[in-house]
Amino acid sequence: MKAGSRPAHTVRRAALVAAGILAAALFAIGIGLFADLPTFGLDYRYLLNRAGIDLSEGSTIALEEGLPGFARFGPEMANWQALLAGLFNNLKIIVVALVASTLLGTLVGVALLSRNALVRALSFGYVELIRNTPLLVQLVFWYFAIILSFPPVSAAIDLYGWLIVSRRGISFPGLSVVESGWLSIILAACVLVLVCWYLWRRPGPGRLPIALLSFGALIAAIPIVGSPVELSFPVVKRFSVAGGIGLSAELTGMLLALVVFTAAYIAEIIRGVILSVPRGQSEAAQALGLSNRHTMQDVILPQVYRVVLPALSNQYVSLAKNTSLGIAIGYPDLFNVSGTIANQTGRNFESILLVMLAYLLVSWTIIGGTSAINAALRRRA
Amino acid sequence: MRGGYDTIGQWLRANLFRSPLDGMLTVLVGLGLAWCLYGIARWAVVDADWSIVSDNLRFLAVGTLPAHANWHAEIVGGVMVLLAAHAATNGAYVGGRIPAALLVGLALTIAGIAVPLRFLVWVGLGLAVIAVVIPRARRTFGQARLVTSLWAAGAIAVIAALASTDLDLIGGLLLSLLLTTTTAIASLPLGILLALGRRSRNVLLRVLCSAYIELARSLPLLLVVYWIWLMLPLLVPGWHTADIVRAGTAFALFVSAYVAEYIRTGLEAVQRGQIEAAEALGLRTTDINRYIVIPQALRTVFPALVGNVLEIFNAIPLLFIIGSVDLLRAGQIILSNPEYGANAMEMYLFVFIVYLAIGSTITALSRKIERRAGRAR
Repeated sequence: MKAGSRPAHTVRRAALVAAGILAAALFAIGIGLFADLPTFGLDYRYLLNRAGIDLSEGSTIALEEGLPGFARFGPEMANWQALLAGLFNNLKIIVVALVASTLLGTLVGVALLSRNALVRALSFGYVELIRNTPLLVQLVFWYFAIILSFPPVSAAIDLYGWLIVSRRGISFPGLSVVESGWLSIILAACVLVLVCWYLWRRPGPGRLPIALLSFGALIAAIPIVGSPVELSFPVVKRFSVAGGIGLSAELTGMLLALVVFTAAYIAEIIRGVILSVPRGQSEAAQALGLSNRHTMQDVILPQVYRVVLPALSNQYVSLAKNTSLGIAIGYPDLFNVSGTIANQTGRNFESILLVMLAYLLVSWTIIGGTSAINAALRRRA
Repeated sequence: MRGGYDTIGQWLRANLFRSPLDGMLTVLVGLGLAWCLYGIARWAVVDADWSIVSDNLRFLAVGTLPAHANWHAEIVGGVMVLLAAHAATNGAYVGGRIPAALLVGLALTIAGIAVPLRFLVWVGLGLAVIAVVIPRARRTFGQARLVTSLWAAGAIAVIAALASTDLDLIGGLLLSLLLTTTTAIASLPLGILLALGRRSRNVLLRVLCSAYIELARSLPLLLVVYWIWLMLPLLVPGWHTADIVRAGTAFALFVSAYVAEYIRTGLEAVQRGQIEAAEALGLRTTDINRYIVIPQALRTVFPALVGNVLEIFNAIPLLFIIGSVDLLRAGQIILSNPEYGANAMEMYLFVFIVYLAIGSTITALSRKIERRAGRAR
């Protein structure tokens, strides 16, 4: 859509509207909380009450021994913590699906222009199949027709612990931090950030040796201080799968549907942008003796990413908005949780404002983030 | 041969077996594809039990509309066929006969499932009108007036037929088509007004329209539909209305923000000099917009607006949130019958294929119009 082509304007306008809504909401919350007046009929005190509902999954911010920490949501927690758990459930999907759909979309976008007619036809068919049908139909298809037809946990498909598939979801090995491993991880992250910042600043050649050297040093440090993380494999128990990283059936369905759906749109964008790079450039690269892979990787794609960001940002916003479909398959996303709470407390209007605010903030964070990256790339170019 | 190749062999060598690696890729992908297609075809013919679809076709097509209310569906289906047939014989309006013929076939199928025999009378009547009345009337009235009155009469007939029935009984594919059409039509004037408001010289109007567009475009449709459905009775007390009217209102309000952005790109494409020339001639702002700016803007964005119809159509399943029974929901209701517990795959595949057929038709239509517009420019 058009808005992406003028990121600066959109961000300014969005910031204006967001600030207005935020001020109004804070005003309403303030009045409801402290003055105890029925102004606007808004009353946000229900947020502090005990939720009394349970969510099938989701973590939230909770006080542990006086310190704020991250904990699994339970029915004894407050309504605001339930809403926060719902929001985190949305963000979880957005982050994973954003990365995965960009990778898959780029792959398919390149395949759409393949010289091999069969590969071309296959990727074209995929894009048409996905773009011409409603996302909701795809989502319920993935969840009810595919995932729920997997075998039960007791007969789960187990690939030696590397992948366990059942109708309760999928599990794969995960990294878990060993005791006292956090210190080394934080130190390593600091070193990495410093090196990256230095490389970003320093122009010209000689960057690769520095990068290799620092990564080598970090890897060499592992046997000395001991690995801060260890691989943990999932194990099939009688009624559940323990250990590793487990994705519930609902989360798997949401991720599958959203990644496959968004990737089709991203593929179309990538294809369009690749076609817009002048043909002479790929011919020149080939005349210089570059292979197909290197022409794509070193000549075409770097230019593509510079032009493509505004269009991608629109797709990412759509992705964020589409996470609200979770209610169709019982995934406890923000809209789902807020609906339950609104039904219990009768605070419909207040819930609507809160969810609206959350979606606006997420949408505009994505727009602002991508246009900031875009501006940084343009400055460097 | 396509693309300047003399023989099939040359085409194969250039497109499938360019190098040994390429050939291997072709063989591997081809074998994988063939295996998948064989598996699906075998399942669909041998293992699948399609009685879940064939036994419930009427519910999937029109919902719970009782048999004595068939004439409502007949009028709606008949008028839709009439208009589609008119569009099919009149290439200028939808951009070609093949996609339009597909649309006619679709409308025929839906209406045919709903009301088997008497429907044929409608079709015959419609074809007779097209064959005999139109050429004569065209000579008498002139093309533009005839088309306008024909479509207006059709719209009135549809509204009259719907107004006298219990709207909440309408469901299935009929509901999807009905809501898509009304939303597409209602969102156009709203979108034009919003787009003009966004370019207005009045600051307040400009800020309000911009804020509305940005707000609607940043929120998921699912939430907006639910909230408007929830809030309408509170905001307009005493207005009792069918769920699908509330849903239609929500859809039109939401979609108009997207339409406004399309229209805005069209408005920006109109050269500034034309507006200045019109001002120099002393035309009023409303007249400039009505006779000079909007017609050109609409012509520019017409292909995009046709594509937008697909977006609307693909959004209809979201109505499950307010309990409306569209095609997908109808399928799920049928599946909740324990008798069909094992046939989820058949039902979901059927729903998917129906949506795919209609969606592909609209996409083909939009592409064709775009190509034609590109040639005309």
